Amino acid sequence: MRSRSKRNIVLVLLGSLCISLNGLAQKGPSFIGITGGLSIPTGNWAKANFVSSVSGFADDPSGYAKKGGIGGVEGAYFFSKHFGIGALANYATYKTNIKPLSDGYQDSFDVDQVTTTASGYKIWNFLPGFYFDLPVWKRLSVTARALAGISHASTPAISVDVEDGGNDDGTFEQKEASKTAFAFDLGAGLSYRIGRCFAVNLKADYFNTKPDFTIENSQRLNSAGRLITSYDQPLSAVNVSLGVAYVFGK
Amino acid sequence: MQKIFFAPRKYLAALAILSLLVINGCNKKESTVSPAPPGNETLSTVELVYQNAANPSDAGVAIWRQLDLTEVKPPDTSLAKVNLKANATYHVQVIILDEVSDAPKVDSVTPEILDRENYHLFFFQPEPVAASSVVISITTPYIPVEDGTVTSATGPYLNLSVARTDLDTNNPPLQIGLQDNFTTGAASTGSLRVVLRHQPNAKNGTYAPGSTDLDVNYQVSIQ
Repeated sequence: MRSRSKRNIVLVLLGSLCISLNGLAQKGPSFIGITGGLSIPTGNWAKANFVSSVSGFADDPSGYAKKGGIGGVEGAYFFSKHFGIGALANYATYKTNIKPLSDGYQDSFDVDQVTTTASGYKIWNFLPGFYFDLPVWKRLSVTARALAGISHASTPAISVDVEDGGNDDGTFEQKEASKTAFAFDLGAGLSYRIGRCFAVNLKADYFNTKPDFTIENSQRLNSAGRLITSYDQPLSAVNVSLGVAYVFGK
Repeated sequence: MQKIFFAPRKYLAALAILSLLVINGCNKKESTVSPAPPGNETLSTVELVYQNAANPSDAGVAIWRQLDLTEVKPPDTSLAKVNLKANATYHVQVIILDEVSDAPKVDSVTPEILDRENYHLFFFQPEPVAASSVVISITTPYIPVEDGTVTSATGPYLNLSVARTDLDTNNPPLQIGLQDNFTTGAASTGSLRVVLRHQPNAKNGTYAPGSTDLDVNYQVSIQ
């Protein structure tokens, strides 16, 4: 039993070596292209808790990030049939899920009305790394990438206007904050060649960065409601993207 | 044969810029309004529970009551009378009840105000009062002249001063007014106006910010 599993491992390793050596003899499909799609925040960043605190400030890890759009450019040079190095530069934006946030402030201050206005999260990424391509059927390849680099992210600017008893009791603000941090992206997908020069790529990726934002607030005169002065939760997302690429070198 | 020049990289660059503009354009500011849910309590009854600090048997309750939600009928002030001894100090507690919403059950609203102490502030104004006695600061409970206090140049004055004794959890702490000390002087009569200000994210110790949750009057007799 044990010798059989050892034999299997050896066979897999030999197979991999064979693919690599074979791959070194040829060059794979280097490309440059654009990509765009949907980015789905995960974890605490995507949470949108109703936070009410009538006496004292409340800190909550909810990020209130909605699904967003993502787009960018990427390219890779394949130094062998299957492996290449390249980079992805992209930009993503996410609207803020302000309804539960706003309802929490209304309840915290026990007022007639709260009007909450917010911008969104913005993330710029530059992620170099390794690319993999394995032709599986005619023009179709399975692709994968493992990228690591930097991410520049910014949080929404949020303003809350409080009205009660016919009076406008003023507006308080959570200021926009930005930070650059390490980021990584792991993904897999399918690539379909169209003609000699083009390919259509469908990819799914997991992206993660963890900027430790320091957040400024203004006009928080009384201790009540949600107040965050830092946000150190991971900004992680599953990205589903469709792209078109110009293929060369094969 | 005519050559067709096709520059895919240029098209890709143009598409990339276009897609970034579209993505950024989708990220405009959003706004939402959160109104208060229905069913807030009614502040129908305000009690001043007082006790002489030097003589606990000298105690009383003054009750102001408005059970008519339409406020067409005048409030019941038959029990809104504070009887104090001259030259004494009284510990006073303000109790607010809702005798309307859940009648015949009586709900105390005081714990809720205490919960929300960081944006509630009571004011007390004895009248008649000399202008010089209406000292306005973040630690005095008096109501500015522009907010309805009538001063008298000649008197006779109601010889009563009020000091709040409880603090909220703001930083720095501000007074609340659910617990107070009334200090009397010589025998006199007049009225005491009690106002509760709701100052959401605006409480700073002064009367001005916010709105009025209740505004009631008591007759005061100092013997």
